[in-house]
Amino acid sequence: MVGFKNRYMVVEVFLDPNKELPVDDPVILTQFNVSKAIRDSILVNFGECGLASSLGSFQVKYVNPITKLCIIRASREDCQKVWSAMTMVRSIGNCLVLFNVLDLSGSIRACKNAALKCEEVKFEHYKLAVGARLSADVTQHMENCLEKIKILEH
Amino acid sequence: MGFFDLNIPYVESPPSNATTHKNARVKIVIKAMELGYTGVAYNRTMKGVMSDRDRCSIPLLTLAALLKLAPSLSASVNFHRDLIGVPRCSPFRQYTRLTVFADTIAQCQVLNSGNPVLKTYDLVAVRPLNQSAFDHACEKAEVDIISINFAEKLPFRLKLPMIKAAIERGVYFELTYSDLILDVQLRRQMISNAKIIRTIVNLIVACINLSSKLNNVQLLVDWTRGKNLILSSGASSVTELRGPYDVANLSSLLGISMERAKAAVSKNCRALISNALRKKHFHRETIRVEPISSGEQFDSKEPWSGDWLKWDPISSGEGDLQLDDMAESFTASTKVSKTVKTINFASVIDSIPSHSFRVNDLIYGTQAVSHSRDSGKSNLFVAGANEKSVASNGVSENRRRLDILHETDQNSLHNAPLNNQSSSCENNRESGSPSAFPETIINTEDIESQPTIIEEDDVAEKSFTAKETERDDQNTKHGISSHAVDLVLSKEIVKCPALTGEIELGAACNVDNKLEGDTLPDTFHSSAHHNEESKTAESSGVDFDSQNVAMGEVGMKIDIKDREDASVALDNVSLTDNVIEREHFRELVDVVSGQNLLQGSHDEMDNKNGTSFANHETEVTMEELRDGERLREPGDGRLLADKISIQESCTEMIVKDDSSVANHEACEEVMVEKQKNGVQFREPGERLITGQNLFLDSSKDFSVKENSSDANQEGLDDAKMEEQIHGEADSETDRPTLVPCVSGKYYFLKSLFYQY
Repeated sequence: MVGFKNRYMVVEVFLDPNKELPVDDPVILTQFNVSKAIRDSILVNFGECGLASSLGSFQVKYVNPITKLCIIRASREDCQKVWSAMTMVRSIGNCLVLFNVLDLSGSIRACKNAALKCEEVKFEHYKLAVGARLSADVTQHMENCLEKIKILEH
Repeated sequence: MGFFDLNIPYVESPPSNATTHKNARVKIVIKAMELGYTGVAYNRTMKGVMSDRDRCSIPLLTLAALLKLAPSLSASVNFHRDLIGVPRCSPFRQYTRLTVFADTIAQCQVLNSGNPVLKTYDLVAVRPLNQSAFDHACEKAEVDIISINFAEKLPFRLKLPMIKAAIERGVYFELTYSDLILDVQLRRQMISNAKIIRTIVNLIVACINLSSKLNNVQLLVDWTRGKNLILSSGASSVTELRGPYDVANLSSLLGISMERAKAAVSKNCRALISNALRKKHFHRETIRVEPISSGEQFDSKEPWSGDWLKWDPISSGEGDLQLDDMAESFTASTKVSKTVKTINFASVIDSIPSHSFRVNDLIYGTQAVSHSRDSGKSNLFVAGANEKSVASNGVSENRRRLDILHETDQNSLHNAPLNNQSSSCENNRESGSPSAFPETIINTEDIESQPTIIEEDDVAEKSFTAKETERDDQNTKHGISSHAVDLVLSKEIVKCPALTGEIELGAACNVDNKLEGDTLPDTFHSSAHHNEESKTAESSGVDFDSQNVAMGEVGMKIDIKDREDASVALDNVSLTDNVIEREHFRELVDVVSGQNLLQGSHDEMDNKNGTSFANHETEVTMEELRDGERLREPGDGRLLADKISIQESCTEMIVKDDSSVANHEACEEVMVEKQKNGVQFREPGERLITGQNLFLDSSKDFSVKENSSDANQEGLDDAKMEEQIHGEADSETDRPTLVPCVSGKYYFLKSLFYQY
């Protein structure tokens, strides 16, 4: 039996909330970016020990730079810490950010379902915001990302 | 359940920076809406001596301003709301708040209820800066919130007796979390103060446990559920804002459990706001005195009179309807709704057909109009009618109702709910949201049963007699005392002082409602006549179904005002009003709930026989109950209908088909449906509502207390309590709030129209 219990969070990131209208992304979200930001926040708030204990299971499993959706895994014991640290993240690089947790689940399957639903809606928003500038690349990219979600595993 | 952020700093900006500050504020509000909050409060701080310059001058933001910066706001908001569990169509509210930095006791003493400057703000908070100020603030200051800056070393000690005193008075303690996010040093300080915070929270819980044993704070306990802590952001810029659940999680760092934290963000805020608004707008927290000048007033404001739920706190004009407003046709819709309201009302009044009223038709304003014509029964345009009638009826009704409602606050409450309902109705109309029509709740049944009800004409005060007679017939058959109806009407009338003469069973629309209020009194009178018993009209739970319900609501409000005025008129009016209101309600109900419900009620109504009546009653009550329950759900017309009807029928039986639910909000009155007994006098203080009062069931509003001979007060209280509870429990949907009529014998449940 698997002894490690994890929590999976579906998180959306608001980039540069001060900007009035949606401009092109000031920073591209990647797994590395997001992970670093959160780890730094854990270090600052919870110290070396806090970071060490959370780092075991902490992983940014998926990031979609178009819709700004992320899936983050944390262990069950540290889930609250990681969540608090994530809430306190103020910036990624030079860009101000705002994390908002949309869904928290205990299994990867539930998380995948939630993520797919959120992706759909967010992609619609993106299309609305972008308007005519939608390109085939973006759509292709989206497809890839959705595929990635589907093959996610713990 | 809605989420609120009650501390968004508002800076008095010098003209040069005005736009930047405004932009910042707009962005914050947009972000808050996107994150799922349903209400914010703009907080202005001041120190030192209070002067007239400190009056509230915070401009509330309009939807247009928000949409300018974020055109795709509505899609995003809907998405987030669905995720969080907030109903999509609950309005976004904006409140104004003042925080007074208090150094000395003298500065604290300024914070009393007589201070006119404070009255211009929705919420008042105090930030004590030293021990004496803190002690005074806890024990005596008339504030809503005590805000302590935990991000620095506390200059005073927190003592149990002080905190206990504050809690027992209903004062909330506030925690702002932006310091946690902003800066490391502040974070450190705040967490090290966390122990103190934890103490407060524990004390609060302990106090509640203790106080729960004290009778006099029973209400408080119910309302606050034992927690007097609220979390707010204090975010001076968008980057410091966080979503509601994120905030709840953050506070776990401070040692506050997740459950309490979640409550602190939602339930407690809501309770706080409803309390604050109630204090602000009701004389001694019971009687609502509204300067009713004309119908427009209701239109412009969000329905708020006496709404138990958040409607109370709705600041004027700011309860944006998310869905409706956000649509491009924002302005259009509003206009439409207004027009619709007016149309309905007028049409209803004019052409109250004598045949039964079909609820289904009522559903949308336009339809309703036609229907009302047909059935005449239109029990009251739910929203509008009630209010109107209340106003108008108030006078006449007052007479009738005298026993009943008179509670000023009832009336006011009714009015408020009615207004709200009307507005909600309006909104509903616009959006066609089903739930929105509390008005339709007018139990069509009522309408049917009472050919007279079609009184739209009557409402005009003219044909009341005719209606009355009809009503009588019906009433007798049903044993419904028109009184109830009248009462209802009167209530509404009361609300609308201007309307005293005219009871227009304004269909749903607020405006209409107002009118109805006027007419109501007449009907009431007439009904009163008819029903000998009508005296209690309300209690008789007459067949009013819709009328009563609506009327009741209206009457409630009106009662207070017009009581003195036209007792006789009331009677007449009330009858008609009731009818009309009923019709309206029915219409509304139909819309909302769909036909089934109404149909049923109609059927009921039709059966005039006592037996049928009884059935009817049951149905009504059932409906009411349903309404009550439904109220919670937005768009549940049925519910609304039920409730509304119930409320309406406060006066009488009102076929509870009426979407009493919707009316619930408006109607505080307990529907006294004494249908069973035919004419039953409502004894003062008794809940009119007969057993059917579904309200009871419907958690929300008053549950119609079955002819409770018990003092209405009890019912009222219960209703109140229930409402409150419901209010809290209810989601944002604006449910008509029932405002229990304290005084008076009857509880008029004013069901506020659902607002969506």
